[in-house]
Amino acid sequence: MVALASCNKEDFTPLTTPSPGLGGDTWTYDAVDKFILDSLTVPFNVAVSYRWLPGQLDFPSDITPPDKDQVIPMLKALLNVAYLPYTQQTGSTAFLRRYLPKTLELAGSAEYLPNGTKFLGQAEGGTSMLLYEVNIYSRLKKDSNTFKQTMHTMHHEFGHILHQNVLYPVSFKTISTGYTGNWYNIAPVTARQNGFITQYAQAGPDEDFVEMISSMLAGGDNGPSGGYDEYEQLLVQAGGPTSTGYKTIKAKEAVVVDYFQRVWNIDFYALRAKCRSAFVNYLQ
Amino acid sequence: MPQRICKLFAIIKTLFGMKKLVMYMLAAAGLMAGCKKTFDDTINGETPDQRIAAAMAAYQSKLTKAPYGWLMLETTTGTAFNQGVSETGPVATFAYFMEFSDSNKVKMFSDFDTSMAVVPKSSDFRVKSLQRPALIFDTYSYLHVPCDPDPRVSKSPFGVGYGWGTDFEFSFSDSVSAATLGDTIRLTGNLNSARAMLVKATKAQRDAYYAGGLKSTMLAWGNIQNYFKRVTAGATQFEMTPGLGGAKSIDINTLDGSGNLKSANSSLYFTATSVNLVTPVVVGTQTVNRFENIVWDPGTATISTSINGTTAALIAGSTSPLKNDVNAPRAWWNKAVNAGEYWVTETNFHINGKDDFYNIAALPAFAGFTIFWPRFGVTGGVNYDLYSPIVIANGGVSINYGVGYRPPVFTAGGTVIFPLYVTLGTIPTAARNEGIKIGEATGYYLILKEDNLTYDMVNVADAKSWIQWQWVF
Repeated sequence: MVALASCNKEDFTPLTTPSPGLGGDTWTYDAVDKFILDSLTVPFNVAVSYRWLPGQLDFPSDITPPDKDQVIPMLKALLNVAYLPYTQQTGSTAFLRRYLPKTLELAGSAEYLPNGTKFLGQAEGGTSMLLYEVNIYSRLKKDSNTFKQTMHTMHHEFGHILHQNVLYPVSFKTISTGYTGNWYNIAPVTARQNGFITQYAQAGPDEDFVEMISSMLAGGDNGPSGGYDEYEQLLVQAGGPTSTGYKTIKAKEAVVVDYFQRVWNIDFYALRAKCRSAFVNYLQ
Repeated sequence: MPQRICKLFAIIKTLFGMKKLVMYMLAAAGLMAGCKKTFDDTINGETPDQRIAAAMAAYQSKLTKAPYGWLMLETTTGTAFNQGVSETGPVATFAYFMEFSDSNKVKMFSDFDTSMAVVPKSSDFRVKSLQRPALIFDTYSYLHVPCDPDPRVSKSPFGVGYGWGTDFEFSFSDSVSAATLGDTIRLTGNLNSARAMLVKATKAQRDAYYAGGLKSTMLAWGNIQNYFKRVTAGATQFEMTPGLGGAKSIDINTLDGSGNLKSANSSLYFTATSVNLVTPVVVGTQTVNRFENIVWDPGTATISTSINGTTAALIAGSTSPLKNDVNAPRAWWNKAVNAGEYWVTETNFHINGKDDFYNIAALPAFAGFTIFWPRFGVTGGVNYDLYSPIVIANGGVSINYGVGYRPPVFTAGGTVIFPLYVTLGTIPTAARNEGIKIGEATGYYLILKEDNLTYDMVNVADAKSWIQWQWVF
């Protein structure tokens, strides 16, 4: 027993060097980091990670980090076209400061899924948002389809953040039936005739709700023009004003507008007008 | 450690009973006394965190302190991962010149494309402690291009969602400590396990990159547009033809003593001064590792070069193969006829150095592949062979138009001619032109590739046009 006791007590070397990476990664800050600090972190309390962090994105997937030259242009577009209308509509940055996801992650490419679709964005737990395809962002008129897609993704994910904070009325979930994981196998026009504003809206009520928001604010894909079109043009594909598809989408629209008014005290149609003019004015 | 011995002691006690207890108590006491001396959580007085921090600093310093930068070679394993699922395809090697700076910046050239060979791109890197010490290229650079999941960017044949199976996040994989690394650093990719090697560059090498050497080497090498390239080095002669692994893959063909054709495949990579074989090939008494001092002579349309920097050699385009397999055209045609199936191309005609010369990829509703279907059907009493770019229609793939040929003429010289017969459907101009190209009266060689499933069909007239047919059944 004497031997045991003497063996328990040993001389441990005191920790003088902190564990590597404790307190977060560090690197030499440059103009991009300064822009993020001044334009997003200080005014909106948002941290932006644009550098590749292993394991932060989906680990065993082929995703590339953003091109650094694309980061500031992309963030400026977000600020001016997606965020500014909210600030103008609510009269201050308080709304965004409180509800914008606290971490914004950027990826250069999309994340391709085995079923032939790809992720353009993700939102998690009301606190984190991930935007893909930063490398193809462009504000040029000729690339307006890509730009609209970026904005659509942004409003889609922010819509998730909002309903993850305060859920929409449960009755929304019963407006439509026929939600399906095979949404990508159903043609966009068919989806609209069935009362879904986009293909992806068929994936589930949450997606349906935020696709309504993003389609109204930024337009939706596969419209009559073949690319992104405004909400009204998408509605044309649903059928005439008496058709089931049209009426279903309109019923969803009413819920969205009501939700924004009651929960967030935001006039949705006024917000939409601001989003549209911000977008048109930003194109080059 | 003391606790474990006590536990061992308890087990012994229950197993052997009290009789032997004294003996084992003695043994246990002996072990315990030993443990006191060896117990230490440091090596040379340093904690693990101190050692990790020192190793990270040493790796960083190693990279940034190379006065003339690094040459980097990255070779894939032939497997690419996405969503935890793997695809297999050709192995490829990509070569870079890199300079690392203390402010986490890296500047590089790449041999992926001539556009990346002359203007260096600046991006970021980090040395970070993951499961192993890691070198991460953490914003987009030339290194990320072959890894891009969009095939329009990576030009990868692995399919949508997969690059070539290269990496941009690596583990240091030398079995020596950071401080004792020499002029070579080995890396292993964390996602695709691609192998990379950093080799310290010399001043001359760095100067050559900044003088545009990489681009001029790539351009000089690309000047000979023939499918068959004949290399003559003294009495030794061999042939180079395009390999299956994309633009930087070649087959080296030689004749053995009894006149039989022997073929070996290798990936190529380019540096500012040389064209290099990843897998050296032995030709006669000569091992071919690389071609140096590549000089294009427009007058004679030849490249003068130096094999391994020691043996002078001349590369010239050839209009005929070193040895033609005279049975190949018939074997190719019969394979489809016997199976009742067809041959597929996804790349269409390569003519005078240009891929997809007729821009078939831009056809409306094009499904991404084109077929040649021997004995497709009968019209006007002729059982014709069909060429047709496939289109997407009504939710499926469809043969909407094409060009028909009379039964092929197999010549004694081992070539084949497809006599033009008829156009079918409303055929777009691009498809019509490609169909007529197949019908050229000079005919074609058929070259069986190393996978035994792919044939290259090479125009006899000048060997500067070819199309690749794959067997997909």
